[in-house]
Formats: sequence, C-alpha cells, structure tokens
Amino acid sequence: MLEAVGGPLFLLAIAGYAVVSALYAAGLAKGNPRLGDAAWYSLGAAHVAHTIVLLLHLGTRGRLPLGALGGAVAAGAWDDPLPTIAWALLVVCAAVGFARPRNRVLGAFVAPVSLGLTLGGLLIGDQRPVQSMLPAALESMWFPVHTLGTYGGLALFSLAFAAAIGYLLQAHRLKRKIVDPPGVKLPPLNSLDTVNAWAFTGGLAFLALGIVSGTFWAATGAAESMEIRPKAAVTVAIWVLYAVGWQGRQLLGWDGRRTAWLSILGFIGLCLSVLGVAHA
Amino acid sequence: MRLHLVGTSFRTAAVEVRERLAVSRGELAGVLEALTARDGVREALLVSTCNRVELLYVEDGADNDAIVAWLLQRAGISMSRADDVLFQHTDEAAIRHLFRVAGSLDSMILGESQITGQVKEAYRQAVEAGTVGPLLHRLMRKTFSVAKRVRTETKVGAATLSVANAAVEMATRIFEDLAKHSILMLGAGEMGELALKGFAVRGAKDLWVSNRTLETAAEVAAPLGAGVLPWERRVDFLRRADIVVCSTGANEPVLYKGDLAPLRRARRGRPLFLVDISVPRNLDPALQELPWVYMFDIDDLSQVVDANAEARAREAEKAEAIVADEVASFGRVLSQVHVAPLIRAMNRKIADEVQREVDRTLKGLGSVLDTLPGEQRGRIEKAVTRMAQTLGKRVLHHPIGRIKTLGREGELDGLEEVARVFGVEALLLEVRDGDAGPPKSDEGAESA
Repeated sequence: MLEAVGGPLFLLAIAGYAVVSALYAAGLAKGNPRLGDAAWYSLGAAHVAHTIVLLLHLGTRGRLPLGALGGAVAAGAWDDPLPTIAWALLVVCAAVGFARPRNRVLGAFVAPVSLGLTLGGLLIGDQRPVQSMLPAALESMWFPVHTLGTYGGLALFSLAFAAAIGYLLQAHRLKRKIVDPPGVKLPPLNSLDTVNAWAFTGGLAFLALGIVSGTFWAATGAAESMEIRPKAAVTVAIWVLYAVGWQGRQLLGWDGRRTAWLSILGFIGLCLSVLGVAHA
Repeated sequence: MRLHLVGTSFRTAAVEVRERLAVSRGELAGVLEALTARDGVREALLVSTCNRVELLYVEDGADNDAIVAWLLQRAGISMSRADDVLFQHTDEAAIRHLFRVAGSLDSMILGESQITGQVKEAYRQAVEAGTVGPLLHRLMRKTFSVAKRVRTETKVGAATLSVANAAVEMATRIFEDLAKHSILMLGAGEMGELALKGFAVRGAKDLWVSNRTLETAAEVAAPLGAGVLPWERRVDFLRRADIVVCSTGANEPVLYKGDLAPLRRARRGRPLFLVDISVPRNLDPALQELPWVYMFDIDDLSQVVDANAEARAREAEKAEAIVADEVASFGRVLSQVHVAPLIRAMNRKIADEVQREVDRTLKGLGSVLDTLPGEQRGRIEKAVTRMAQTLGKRVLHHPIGRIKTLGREGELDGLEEVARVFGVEALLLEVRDGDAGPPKSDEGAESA
C-alpha cells in the first residue's frame, strides 16, 4: 500500500508544489489575485496528498518518515526528514494564512522551499544506502519529544526564511521606490517582519526543546550507536546563531532587515546540517 | 424610435461654456419635462456635472436641431457654435458613449469612481421627474452593469492618481493597519494636510501636527481630531511616530540623519516612513541611508502617480473591449425596439380580425350549436377559436421574422411601407403613443 499508493502520491505532491510555485510567480508578475487564490488552494491540495503519504507511512511503519533525523533510515524514497520538514512548514503556513488571509502570499516563498525540501528528500533518499532501523533507540521516551522539537523548530525556521525573503524583497522595492503594478500585493513590511519574528522566536523554543530532549535521549544510551554528534554540534551552533539574532532584536533594536538576513543564514545552515551531516 | 444624445464635456468646451449649459438640481425636473413635452420626445435623462452636461433622450420623429437650438438658447450661446461645443450621438454611438461615461473611460481622471454615482443620481432624478420610460430604464440598468463590469474585471480605477493618496498607498506597503501607528505631520502645507486626511480616511487614529506656529498647527489639527505637538519636541516624538509627513515652507531640512540615527534602539527596529512633500525638500536626503528609514519626496510620489496612470491606461484597453461587447449586445435589443411597435400593431390587427371572424362563424352556427349538449358545444367553440388564432399566427410568422431581421440589420426605411401593406398605419401610431417600450424577450415569438 505504502509503495503502491504512497510513491505516486508523493510524486503528485511534489508536482503540486512545482505548479503552485509557478502559479504564485505568474500571479505576482501579472498582478492577478485570482492566480494567487488558485495557487493557495492548489497548495492545500498538494499538502493533502502529502499528508496522505505521511499517514500511510505512519500506518504501515508505525512512525513518520523521519529517516536520517533519527540516525537510521528505512527503505523508500520518501522516508526522509526533508519532506516531513516541508509538510510541517506547510502546516504552519496554513495556520498563518488562515489567521490573516493577506499573508497567504507567503505561499509564494513557502511553496518553492517545500518543493526544494521534497525534491531534495526524493533525490537524496534514492541515493542513500538503505540501513536497518534501530528499534531500541526509537523506543526511548525522549525520541518523540526530540522529534517534535526538532521538526517544529525546522518548520518554523523554514517559515521565518520564507517571510525573510518576502521582507527583503519588499524592503528592496521600497528603498528603490519601485511601484507595484495594480494587483501585486506583497504583504506590508511590518506584517512580514511580524511573521518572521514570531516564527523566529517559536523556532528557537522548539529547537531548544529538540536539543535538550536529544541530549537526554543520548544520555540514556539508547542512541549511543547512532552518528549524532556532528549533527548535534552543528545544530547547537545554529541555535546559538539564532539566539544571538533574537537577543539583537530584543535588546539592541536590530531592524527587520538584519533579522531577515539571519533567518536566511540560519536556514541555510540548518539545511546543510540535515543534508551534509545527516546524509554523510 | 431612436436614441439620441447631445452634450458637452471638458473635451469639447471650456468651463465658461459648460457652466452656462449646466442644469442645476432645482432646474432639472423642469428641463426634463419641457423636453419630453416636445413632439416626438418620449423619454429623457440629463447628466450635469462640473465636467459634462449630457442630454439623453428617446425620440420618434422629433426635431433634433430644434432641441439643440433650445439647449443653446437656454444657455445664451449662439447656434453658430453648436458644432464647436456640442457633440451628438445616435443609437449605438449614444449607447457606447453612455457606457464609456458611466465606466469612467471618458473622465478627466481615467477610472475615477465619482461619475458612476453621478449618472445613477441623474437616472434617479429623471425617474422622479417621470421622464424615464421602458427603453431608458432598460438602458440605464445595462449601463450600471457595464460600469460594474469595468470596475470589477479591470483595474482601471485601482491605483491612485493623487500625490497625497500615493503617500498613503506607499505607507500601506510598510504598515498593514494604519490605526496602530502614530502619524506626525511637520508643517501645515496644503498638500500635507491632504495626505493627513488621506491617512485618517484609511483608519489612522493617532495623528499629530507640529508647526513652528502652534496656532496654525492647532487649526490644521482640529478638523482631523489630531494632537498638536510643539515644534521643539518633533525629534523626540520620532521614538513613537512611524509615519512622518513633511510639508513646511522652510528653506532648509527640518530633520537630519544625525537626529534619527540615535533613535534606532529606542524604536526597537521599527521601520519609519518619511514623506517629504515640500519644495524645497525639508528632509535631509541622507536620511534615506538609514536602513530602517523609507523616504519618498514629491518626485518619487509623482512617479508613483505616473506609473499608476500608465497602468490605468493599459487597463482602459480591457475596459473598452468590455464596452464594445456590451454595446453590440444592447444594440441588438435596440434594433428590436425600432420594429417592436410595428410587430405589436400587426399582432393586434390580426388578433382583432381573428376574434371578429370567430364571433361571426359561431353566430352563423348558432342554430346548430343550440341543438348540442353544453360540453360538445364548448368543445366546438374552442376548436374554432384555436383554429382561427393558429391561422393568424401562421400568416404573420414569416413577415414578422423578416421584420425582425430588418431591425437587426438596421434596414428600417421599409417599415412604413410594410405597415401600409398590412393596413396598420393608424394602429401603429396608436401603439407608439400608448405603449412604446422595448419588446419583451419573448415578444413576437407567439406570432412568429
């Protein structure tokens, strides 16, 4: 069932994210709000397909496709952490979009990120050697907490990244005094900054939970045999980078531009951490 | 019947001429009644605004030159200037003009929304005056639906064309909810005041005015419910303000980069939007170098307005296509209006003849029918009536179909001859006088 239905459905979700990215790009270029609406609902459809894949995975294997994050990998191209991060990112994006419809245009930045993550998961997952699962490690009580914290943090930092791209684009257009064509409406600068700050703060808290629970998990010895040290070190370094940015904003009055750049740097670091360290 | 439009606008006449042709609200009903009292004028409506005076009427053999002369005479303008100051359109051209006017495609400021309301008001007043009949009712309903299509299907009225509103538009690209932000106006210039009003209209509540003369600031602030800030406190207030509109008469900057740079931490990174509508500029251009400051001067805002005007012009092309489509559609309705009285006259003539023959036949059969039971007698009477009516419809089927075709093709010259052939000239006049409205969608179908 997972291979027969999940595989094609996963490809469908990836194709959906690609179509949504194109729709958003066309909508913004032409100033056509209907294309933006179509993109938003198409994003929802692709996300539903993605959700079904995850549920199939959960039903078949008794766990989400967490793959390399747990340090162990099972068969199947979609059994990779990157697509699951994309899925979590879209959950957060949907929450933001439903809370404030004007922010749905964030999908224009979230969709390509989701496409990159799912495509990355597909390509890298296909090339990775299949390893056996370590049930003992995954049976620890710390594992689900670690997973929730890490994935939640990654999803929120992904959203902060998307909002940061939007912020810098809008700030650049305002500084250069570029006039928006009728119908083209990026969210206002302070809305993008609010989303960025909110996702930034939330991501920091979730990732802290992931790191702390991961430390306890490692201390139990359950994950002793897993190659987690380099990844943990990189993740902690990135968390510190984000924490510095948060402090700068709260105490030093850093403007949205600095926070936006930090969000982008942090996200690139996280991607390298997941791709470079976990998949090494 | 024909639709005729005679008028003047800013395109054909200077304001000195327009103001003489203008019809005040108090005069309107009298003018419309005087017009419809003329021979051959059946319905009328008049739009009178600062940019145009247009008289639309449905006529049937009216003397249009006399109407033009009457209009000019009323305004004290020589008839010799008629071609210079007035334009005239008939039927489809009149419909096209009306649709373009209501859709704001003929306005001085392309896409402005006021004209649609003014046309609606003109229609309402004409209805009150009792000078709107079936054709104008139908035409005006279509006009408003075309105006709505233009507004919703194109962006011809989307972007602002005023410098003051352009400042508000740019501010909304930075701040989502203006009600949550403080707005400070430096100086008391007219343009700045307009911008401050624009912010108030868009929901801004925390408004402040600062001027070297406190009394002047108070005068500007009072109507807007804004606070008054002493000039010396303006820099300190920038810890709180997120939008600054500068419109002073000073010859040197009233805010420097050095004033703002130390406020970054106090502002906790919030962006600051500066609008300088003064000439010479009163905000130090170096302020733009601060990454959290977004500054627009009068030239920047003019560029926004120019770009918006270009965008509107592009959208107007789409709007013209909508108008062309709707004119063709309503033109078909109008063509049927021309032939409708004749079709009605023919239908009525045949119906009368049929009824007369049915009565005569049943009377002749009277003695035979009297011998039959009631039910059989009723069935025979119904059958005779139905047969006669069907025969009448069959006789008219082809001629009416042909008349409708002539109407659609605009070949109206032969209609009087057709009326003579069917012997309905007198009835035609009666129908035109009594019931001159456009045909209903299914009219004629019964007989055709």
